[in-house]
Amino acid sequence: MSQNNPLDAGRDERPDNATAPDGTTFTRRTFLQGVGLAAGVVAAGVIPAVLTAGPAAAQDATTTAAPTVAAPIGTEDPLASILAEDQPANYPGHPVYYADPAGPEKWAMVIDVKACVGCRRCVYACVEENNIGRTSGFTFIQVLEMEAGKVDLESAVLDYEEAGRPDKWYLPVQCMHCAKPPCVYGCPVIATWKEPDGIVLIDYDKCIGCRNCLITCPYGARHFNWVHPEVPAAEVNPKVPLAEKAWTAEKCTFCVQRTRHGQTTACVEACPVGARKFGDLNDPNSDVAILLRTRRVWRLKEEESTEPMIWYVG
Amino acid sequence: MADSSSCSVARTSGGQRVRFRIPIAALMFATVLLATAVPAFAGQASTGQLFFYPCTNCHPVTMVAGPGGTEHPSRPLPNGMTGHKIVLESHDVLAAGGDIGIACLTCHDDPSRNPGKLKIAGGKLIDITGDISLVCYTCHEAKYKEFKQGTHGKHFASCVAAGCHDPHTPNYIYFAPLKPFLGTGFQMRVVGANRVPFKPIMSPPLPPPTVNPTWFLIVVGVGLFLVVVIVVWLAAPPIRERLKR
Amino acid sequence: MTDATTTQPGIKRFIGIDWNVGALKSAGKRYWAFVGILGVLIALGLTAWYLILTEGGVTMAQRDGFTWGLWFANYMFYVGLAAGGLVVYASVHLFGAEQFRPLARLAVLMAAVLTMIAVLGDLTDLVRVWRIYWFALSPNLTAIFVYTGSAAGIYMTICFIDLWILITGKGGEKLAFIMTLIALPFAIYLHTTTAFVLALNKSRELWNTAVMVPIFLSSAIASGIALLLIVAYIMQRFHVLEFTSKMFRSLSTLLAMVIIIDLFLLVSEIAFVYWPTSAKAGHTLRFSEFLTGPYAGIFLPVLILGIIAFTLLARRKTRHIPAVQITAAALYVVAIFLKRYTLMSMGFAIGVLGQQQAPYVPSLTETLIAVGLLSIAVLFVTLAAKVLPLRVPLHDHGEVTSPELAGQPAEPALEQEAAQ
Repeated sequence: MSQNNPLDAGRDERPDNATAPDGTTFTRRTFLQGVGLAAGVVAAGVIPAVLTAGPAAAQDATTTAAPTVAAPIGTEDPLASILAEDQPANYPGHPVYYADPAGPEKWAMVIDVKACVGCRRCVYACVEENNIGRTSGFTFIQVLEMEAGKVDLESAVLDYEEAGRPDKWYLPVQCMHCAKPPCVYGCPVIATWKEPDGIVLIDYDKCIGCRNCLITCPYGARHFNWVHPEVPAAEVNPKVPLAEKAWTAEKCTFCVQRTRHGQTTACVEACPVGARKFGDLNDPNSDVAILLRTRRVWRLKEEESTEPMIWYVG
Repeated sequence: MADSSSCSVARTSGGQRVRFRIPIAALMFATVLLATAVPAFAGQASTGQLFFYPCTNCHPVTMVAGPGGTEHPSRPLPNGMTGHKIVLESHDVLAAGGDIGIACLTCHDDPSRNPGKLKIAGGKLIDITGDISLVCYTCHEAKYKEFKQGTHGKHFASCVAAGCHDPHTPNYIYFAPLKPFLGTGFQMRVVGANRVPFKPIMSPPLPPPTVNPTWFLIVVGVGLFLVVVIVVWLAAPPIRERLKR
Repeated sequence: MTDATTTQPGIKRFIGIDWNVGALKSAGKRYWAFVGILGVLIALGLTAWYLILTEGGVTMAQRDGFTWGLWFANYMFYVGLAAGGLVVYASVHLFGAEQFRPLARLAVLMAAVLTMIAVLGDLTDLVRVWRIYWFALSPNLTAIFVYTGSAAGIYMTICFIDLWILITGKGGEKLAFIMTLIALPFAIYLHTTTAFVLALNKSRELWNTAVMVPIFLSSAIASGIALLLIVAYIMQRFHVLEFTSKMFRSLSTLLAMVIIIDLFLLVSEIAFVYWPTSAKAGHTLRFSEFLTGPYAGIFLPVLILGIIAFTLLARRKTRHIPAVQITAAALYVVAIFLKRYTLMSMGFAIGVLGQQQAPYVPSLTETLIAVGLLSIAVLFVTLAAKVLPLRVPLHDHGEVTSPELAGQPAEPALEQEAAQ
């Protein structure tokens, strides 16, 4: 750097050089090198991050149904594509400790929202059946009071006092046991997975309590035991875990302790108007298979493409 | 015939509901039945008991022959009743604009004036303690088939006996709701919000109850006091200097 | 470039670094009083953590509707601060920005320490912390948590190693350059995955946007530069390090540029939410909670403080004044903290089933843990200011980085502290 001549300040002998007053040299080459390096550095950082999000897309691709072979109209089973989507995900290869092994069924539920009067008997039956802590502050089933004429969750009311209102309709929401469950994809330690018969279960011994599954679920179906679950001794169901659930996530299990023995779920039994139907999609004579074949059905938040296994009819 | 001496019916008009008189005992009995229906009928077939109206308390099922080839009930109605008012909703259209009594005669047997006898398809009469769903079947064939399949309502043998639809006000099923489960305010939800879209609600923050044991609060208090003491000690000389100037 | 001061008293050599333990012994009462404050706060934080381990999640103010709390806002905040400082340091090697070279060791130290407390904050939230080993036994490769958790741990290790390399001088300029090539992509990777933790949730409408990644990066770099500026001034005030005003001015210019990029991205996101052809009730209802609803008090300052910070730094005539620089940097650090807090709240303000949640206010336990973790970071830097040679010596090739430092000995700070 030649600072002898004040007029030379800022100029150097070599061409294409710029010298800043504090002595840094900033050549065009340096700039281009820097930009190239920066681009490479950013790419080196972003590309792996994008690629690591790729497995989720890959999972998406593998669970999409194979293209159906063209068949004469009316002969293809409308349930075939649904059954093809409902694959096990992150299944550890063995049943969870509090449930029997899965059978060949594919469980699904259909809820008749024309019949539902919002009486919440399903909510309470579920609480009693599944050892939900009475002070834990959540229930697996949440019945929403919806405005007539639209399916608008933003104007739904959860804590309504009066039921059976003719200007509202009632929408029970619980774990949908999705075919593409965001909670299963998002659990960092594979503490939750989708069983071969479609039920999404949680291993309470593995759950680290990070609550990522509560965040990824679009239906708000997963709940966290912030307190130790407390159930009066006389009401404890011995077939369902209780103490293991402290500070872990839990949710509706389609009453896995009942349905793998041939019983139906507690909420289906408790519904006094028969708005709930539970059954095996593989059985063409089950209530759910008949309803899905013969009625106009819809699913909640279909656009999220989680492929839920609870349909609504009516 | 539209003679309505044995049962007086009030037609619903303009949405007003007309009170009907029912014996108190029958009302209490019906309420008890309704209250015990949920556990009693969970997944079980109907036992043939009537749900909404313990009709056989008053209406005999045995008819005795009367003069001129007619039949009349074997015992009279209690308390000198000549009939009771029944409100019809939806099924009042069966009167087709004429006298409301025509609507009654669609299902109830006409000649014997016995409300305990009901007409089914083909003009046959069945008893009120039988499978009354067949009466519904005369008009609602598709729904009846769904009911038999199990996709409409629950798996009961007879729908009226199950207590889902009162045949006189069939479109209204009411079960008193159980309370919302939260109760303790444990969660952080704004309760009972009725939101207008695009107009968010200003609500006071409701921090959830947390657990702070006494020993913890004491330890925290002591610690914060220490911190304050040290800060004051640190800050005192410069402040004193500033004040001196 | 090792500091050949092994014969001086009070210097202990350990893992290749000359630890100036003597400076601690000769440190004044005020120094130890400050360390005492930090110690008490750390003890309170440990007590609070003990309470969480015994009482469970009920001690926190998080609930089903508001699943993550202060620890997550702090995680995003500290990870951001860490990467920002490293970008400044890395620009020394990438752009040849030699004016930032004196900041090198300080920047890397702060990056390492801040990432450490970010990870610790994550661990204190898990009530069953001992189950962490499942991360190693059965990690779920589709869960972004695995990537961001491992990235934070690896990045922290890289920063500590980088600091060691810088101080011991092993491998010279070449190794430092290679470490930059490793550390900087990792910083960007860490930020991208942290942004993905939010963005890859189709269930949370306001989070589910691709612009989350650039916003994270720009906020991180801006807040990191701002904090580095403040800490550099503090170090200069306590005569630990010395910098030139030209370096601060250069830093402020860089800060101003990144602030305006950050504000631009935020404003474009707001426009996206409200423009009629793209507005959805789910988005606008939730965002209105932050512009006019219960959260307006903490979200609007993000915009206001950001604009004030930028206008303070924008004027060339006043940019060189330290008071202006420090004010703008402090305002922006606060703004970014509020931004992280509100960004977290955006996922929870109205739940997935349309239920409005009461705004989250951290409980006493959570606040104590956060303060304790921050105290750990400050304690690290406070001790390092005495014990570690943070001053960057003359460059290998003999070029002087600043005229003032040209004639000074290697460790002038030692005599100054001995005199205290």
